[in-house]
Amino acid sequence: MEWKVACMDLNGKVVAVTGAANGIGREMAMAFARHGASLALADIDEGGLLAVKRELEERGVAVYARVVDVSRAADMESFCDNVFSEMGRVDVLCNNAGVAVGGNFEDMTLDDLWWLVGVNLWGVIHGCHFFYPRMIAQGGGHIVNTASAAGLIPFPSLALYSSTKHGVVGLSETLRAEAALHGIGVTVICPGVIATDIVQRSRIVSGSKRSTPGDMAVTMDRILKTRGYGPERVAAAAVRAVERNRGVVRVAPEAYALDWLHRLNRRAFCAMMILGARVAQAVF
Amino acid sequence: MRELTGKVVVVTGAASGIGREMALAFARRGARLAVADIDADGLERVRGELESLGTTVYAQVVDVSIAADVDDLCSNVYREMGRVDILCNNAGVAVGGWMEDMSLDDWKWVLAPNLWGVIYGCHYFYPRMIEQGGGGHIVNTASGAGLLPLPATISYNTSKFAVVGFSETLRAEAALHGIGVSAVCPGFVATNVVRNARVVSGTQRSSPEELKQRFMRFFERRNYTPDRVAAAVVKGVERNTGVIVVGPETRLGDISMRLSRGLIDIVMRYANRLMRKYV
Repeated sequence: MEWKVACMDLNGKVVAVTGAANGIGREMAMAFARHGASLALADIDEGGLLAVKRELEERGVAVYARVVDVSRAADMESFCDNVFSEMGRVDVLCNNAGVAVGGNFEDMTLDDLWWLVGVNLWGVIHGCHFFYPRMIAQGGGHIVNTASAAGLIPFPSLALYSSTKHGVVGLSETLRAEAALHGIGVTVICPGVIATDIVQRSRIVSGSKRSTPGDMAVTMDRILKTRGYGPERVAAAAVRAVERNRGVVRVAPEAYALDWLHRLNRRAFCAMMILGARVAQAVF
Repeated sequence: MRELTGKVVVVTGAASGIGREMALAFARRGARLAVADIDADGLERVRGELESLGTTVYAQVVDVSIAADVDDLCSNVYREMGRVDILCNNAGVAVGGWMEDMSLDDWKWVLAPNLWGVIYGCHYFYPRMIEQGGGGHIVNTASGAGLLPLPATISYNTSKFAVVGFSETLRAEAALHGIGVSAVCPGFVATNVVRNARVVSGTQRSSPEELKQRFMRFFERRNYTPDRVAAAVVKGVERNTGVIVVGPETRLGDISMRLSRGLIDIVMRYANRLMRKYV
């Protein structure tokens, strides 16, 4: 039937990944490469991007890399044009670049808000806007958007981050319903607490009675690293999701648990989060 | 918030539809109103209606997608009315059509009031509501499409999912200051949103213009009036409900989405195919 999407064999396919210089994006590139795909990489961090490119090339993978600010339409458009002219086609697009602003909503400046929505939401919109019509024209493909567990549930101190990630989930699920007709699958990944360097690349705007925002950043980073759920496991889930054309993919156990509780009862979930926020204020 | 008499309520997008009904509903409960809209004539009419109810009214023409406009509204309301007890970020628009037909300008046009209107509203009002003490409530108008991924309105869904996520998160933060936050999710409500919508795609049977006519006829036949949404909002504020789900179609969508996103996925794919063929 025309509205079903066939499963994908990744060998020899072209995969584009944004935010590929580190964390989940880097591991996605590595994982798709291991399955025999060629890679097109984008990131705003040139040094990190070139390191990943070199690492892949040493393994004999065909790589195209370019410095891109996903929040700028012109950057994304030229990335798309270049990838299609260099690699001929794009079978899988991973809109993965993302940032976070942590803290109380009242402490965030307009600039924080613009930055966050620019990268997390517009990055995905730009990716889909430029790549999706060309995927339709070439007759199929798959889009993977990286959201977050905070895209399914509310998480205090990440108000607008949660908001952008909820937006990405809504965008992805809607696009999935529309894209099936063109033989294009759409996946949205909701990882959980993952040990990446996202805190270093984020802005922490609030402290607490005991801690400055800087101390908070150190604590958050320590929590991610102690939890120790590696980004390569998220990447493996993304590859599986493309092969089997899965829709919403929760990865770490906490993503399942929180989503399940939230689905069960929003009021109780919110009460739990308020309690969590109070405890966090007292402890950190 | 149990007692609404004498409270100050700010409503954006108040010139028509759900915003207008919210303003009237709060006014009937004895609240004082600050109303804002981009449509000056409509706003004047609503001001007249509110004044004829004997309500104290402040009205200002505002484009909620411009930060400076919202900033200005906030300082004027605080100067005129002294405080703000309830803020309703309600202004919104919609674009109908498929992803491949939607321009970046369409995306900007939808996100501007639907998402940025809400963000700016909270950015300027929320810190002052904390500062003034004594609690308060923020109501953000989302939509059934903020819970359920309906095909053919991708930019609208994205903005509304984001508003639901934002409201639920802010709710958990704001509770520490005694401020409640609600997201309202109405279903197919006959308002100007459909009339003012941009429709960018056609189907096998209809041109974009015909498709818009069909949507409008569908909404009219559904005949779910905005005053019922406003009544649900007032009740939601009184009871401090997090997500106010209005109407049977939204309730059904919400429950099925929570039961199984996979099932909804199949239904939506099928709905998309039927829409492209037969609408």
